[in-house]
Amino acid sequence: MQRFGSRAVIFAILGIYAVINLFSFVWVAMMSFKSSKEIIGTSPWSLPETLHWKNFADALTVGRIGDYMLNSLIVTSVSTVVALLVSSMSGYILGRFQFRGRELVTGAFMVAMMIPPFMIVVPLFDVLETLNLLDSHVGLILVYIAMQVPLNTFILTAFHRTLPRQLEEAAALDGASPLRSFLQVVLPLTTPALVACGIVNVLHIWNEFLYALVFLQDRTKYTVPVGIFNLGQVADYSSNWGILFAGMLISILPVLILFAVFQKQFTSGIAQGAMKL
Amino acid sequence: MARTATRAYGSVLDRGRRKLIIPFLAPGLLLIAVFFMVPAIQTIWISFTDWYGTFRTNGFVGFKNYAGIMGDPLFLQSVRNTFVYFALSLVLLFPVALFLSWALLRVRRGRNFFQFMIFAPAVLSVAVAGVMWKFILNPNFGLVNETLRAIGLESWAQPWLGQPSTAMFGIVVAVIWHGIATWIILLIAGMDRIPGEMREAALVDGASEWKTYIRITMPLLWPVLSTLLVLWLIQAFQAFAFIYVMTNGGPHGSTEVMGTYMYRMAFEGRMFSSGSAMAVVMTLIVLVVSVLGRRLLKSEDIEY
Amino acid sequence: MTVQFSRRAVLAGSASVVLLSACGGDPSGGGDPADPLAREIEIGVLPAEGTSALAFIEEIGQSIADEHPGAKFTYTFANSKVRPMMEQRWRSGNAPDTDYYVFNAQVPQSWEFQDKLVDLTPYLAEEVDGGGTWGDSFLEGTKSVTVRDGKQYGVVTDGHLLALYYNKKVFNDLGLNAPTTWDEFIEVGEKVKAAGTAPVAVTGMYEPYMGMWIDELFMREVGYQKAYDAAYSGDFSDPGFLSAAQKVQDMRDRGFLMSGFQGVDFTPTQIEFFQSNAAMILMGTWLTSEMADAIPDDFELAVTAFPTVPGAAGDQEAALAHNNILAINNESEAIELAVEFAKRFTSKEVQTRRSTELQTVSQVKDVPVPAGIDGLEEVLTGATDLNVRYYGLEYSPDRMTAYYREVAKLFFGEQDAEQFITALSEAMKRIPS
Repeated sequence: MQRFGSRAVIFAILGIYAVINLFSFVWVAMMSFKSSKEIIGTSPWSLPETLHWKNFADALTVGRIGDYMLNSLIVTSVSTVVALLVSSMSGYILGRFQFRGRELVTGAFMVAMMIPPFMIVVPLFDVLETLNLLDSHVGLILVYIAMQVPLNTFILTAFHRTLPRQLEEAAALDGASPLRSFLQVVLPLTTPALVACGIVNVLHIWNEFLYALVFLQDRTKYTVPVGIFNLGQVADYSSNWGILFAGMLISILPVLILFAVFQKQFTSGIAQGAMKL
Repeated sequence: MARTATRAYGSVLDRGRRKLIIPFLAPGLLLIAVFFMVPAIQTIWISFTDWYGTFRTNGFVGFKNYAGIMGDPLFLQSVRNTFVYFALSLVLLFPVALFLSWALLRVRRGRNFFQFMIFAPAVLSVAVAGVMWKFILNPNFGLVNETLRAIGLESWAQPWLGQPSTAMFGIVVAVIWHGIATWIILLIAGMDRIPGEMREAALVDGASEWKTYIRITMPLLWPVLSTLLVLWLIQAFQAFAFIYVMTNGGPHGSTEVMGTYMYRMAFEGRMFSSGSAMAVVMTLIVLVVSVLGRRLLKSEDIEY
Repeated sequence: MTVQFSRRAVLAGSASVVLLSACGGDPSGGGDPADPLAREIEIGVLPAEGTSALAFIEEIGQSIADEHPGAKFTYTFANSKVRPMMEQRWRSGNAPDTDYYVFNAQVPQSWEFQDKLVDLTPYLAEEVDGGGTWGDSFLEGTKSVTVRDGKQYGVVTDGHLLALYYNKKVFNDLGLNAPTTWDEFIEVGEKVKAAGTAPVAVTGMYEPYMGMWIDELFMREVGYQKAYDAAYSGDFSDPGFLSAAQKVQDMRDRGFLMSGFQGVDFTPTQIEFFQSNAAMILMGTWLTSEMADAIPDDFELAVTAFPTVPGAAGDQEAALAHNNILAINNESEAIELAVEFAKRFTSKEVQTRRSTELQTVSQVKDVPVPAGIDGLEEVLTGATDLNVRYYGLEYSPDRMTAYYREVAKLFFGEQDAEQFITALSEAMKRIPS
């Protein structure tokens, strides 16, 4: 009885939370279908009178959201994959071994996380210029990898520390090289953590704004947040919020789909992990 | 469990594997050296020079900039506000995140839907999420006040973002609503490492699920949780985007945090030296608080 | 070795592309290499993407490109929130060919840009269509903001001044006239309030817009120059400053400010005004072009100069103004093209069209005032002196932040007039010049 009751409470709370969030997305959708006059003249919570598709057309042609999405997709996927690989390596070492200078390395990663992005923007601009990486996706991707590596390392170190060692030792007795046993035995064991980190990275990079704004100058290279920012300026200076929300809606759909797909893997990854234990 | 984490190192087989240490650490260290450490060192240098205006001047002025910001009441206010933001968000974020991650693992039917709905706000750009919350909290046609008026609580309606007592709270709610996915994902991934038998044993003993969660799961989750607390600390001290969009530090500075004030001084105010000095101070504060925090969290760790 | 090889391959490849395009005789590429206007150029613009104001500017570029094949225009948003990023580009020698907000001769802080900008004086001496020189086509008032040490570093593409907009329908219904003095303003405000409408729309979330009230009153009470000096020296001892602050306090205590103003940002505030929820708003003349989409068709908009304070020692006929000054980067490789663009942008014909189509206020001679706004012509022609808004504080934002934060506290009721003057004085003394 008690268990049934608590389940109902959980269900209710999750339900309310989900409905609030659902409502907010419905609201974004409603705003994206309104004309400027409607947004201004009616309550922001009212239904659109007619479906104003022009906002979507404008977001794609004037706001170039389609191009920006492609840019964001490239930048986000490459950065995330490389960042996960690089931080798996460092996380493995830091979680697994004691060695001289370990504290120093951990400290370096920690400090890198604590440096506020604003204050390195100006010198970083010069660094990228020196490396001839300004106004290029390669430069931005490298910065994003560097941005995610400390956080990932921090999280993955904690996971590697709790990983059972027996499997790795068994692999070594079977004659596997250290590199092979890392790739074939250790990495698969961290899949749930990697998926979790991956989702976090995708979210951070997909939404990253400051570096993208400062380091990209050619309009065709912009990422989604810079594009959305531009639409936001349109909204501020011509009270045309419709195009902003339409652009937003277009840009979040693929991410939500991706999210839905990955979430299944994430959930099953956890279930698998639980079965093993 | 916590004890197994610190088991002895140095099995014979590790010797071969130790050859991986340098090549495995090199890529990560190289990246942060080039893209974070080199610029950071330049920032430290700038903080000791006199750079006022758009174009660089490089006169060494010692600690003048540091003395300047320590005598600046607006900077000190922003430091205070940053701590307020951190404390407020801490007491809101973690209980909610812990509850939701626990609830998500418990609920069987519709879990994917709930999870999806809770994570979905994270894909909204801050620009849009911020605009949305400004609409929700607008005093005259905002959803919160309209709801309050509709249910007869008109006297509760307030200009939420327009008064010092509620503005920070409004921002924190928006930040957590938007960013909670990250923390739930990491918590769930952490819970995954907890053996199921221990929980089931407790359940068999007749403890309720919630009590089991508090007594069994939480302590085992502690290493992950303490990591997340430090991560949140770092993020909270760098707070910027939502505040910039929602209140821009207002009303009259009551939501101005170190991040927004630094941006205002360094970028809008072209005072790069002062801004750099603030960045150095801010990094030091985070460093000290997180080291203290980790100590504190570790000492509690021993209890289990 | 491999590097050399691949480089050579790339060179060969690009050479063949050039040859091919030359053979194809593509008219859009290339153009006459001897034409100094056949260049690529990046124009910094103030309107956002997708607005009719930007489309208008793009048309100017297109008209040049049509006549000079090879001229290629790109436009970069250079307003407000991206200013810090634009300055980063100036810093690294990577700025666009033309930009705004980099020069204003009345504000010493902007002089640091002087040697980065093209001295336009020789170009301004050139004849333009319709007789006279380019320089002569501008109103006299623009000289003071663009000329420094006898050299002109920018041209004003549009100029705005602050004025008191009001809802004429509300005023007519109550039988009220536009207030000309502060006392009349209070009288009018009381009547509007008694009729159930908020007298004043003001945002509490963008501090400088509250600051406009105190800026105007300081100018009326002590004069622009004195208030300007005080903003940098912190000397607010003149009793006129206190008297101005008391007027704001009075307006606040009478409940003139729309309810909830503390939590409403500037665009929604302007919407409240156009929704007739508040009867007056102090705003720049950019209001109508910015809010074109938000003004209901039956809205009767009227404007009047900021009320005077008869008998006070300040400037009663002066106005606070904001000029958008276009300047040209002297490292640009397309200076001739940039000058041609600036010339067309500020030509009488283009400015006239801009005034009628976009309701933009021009600073070029003989350009008509935007139509349809009752009182605008009187406001524009009645102002004897145009002074830089915010006392030039936009060019030293650290000072600006501290200044308008104190004003906000006055509006919010956190401090009264005397406390405000003391706090303002302390804050301005503390900040190094």
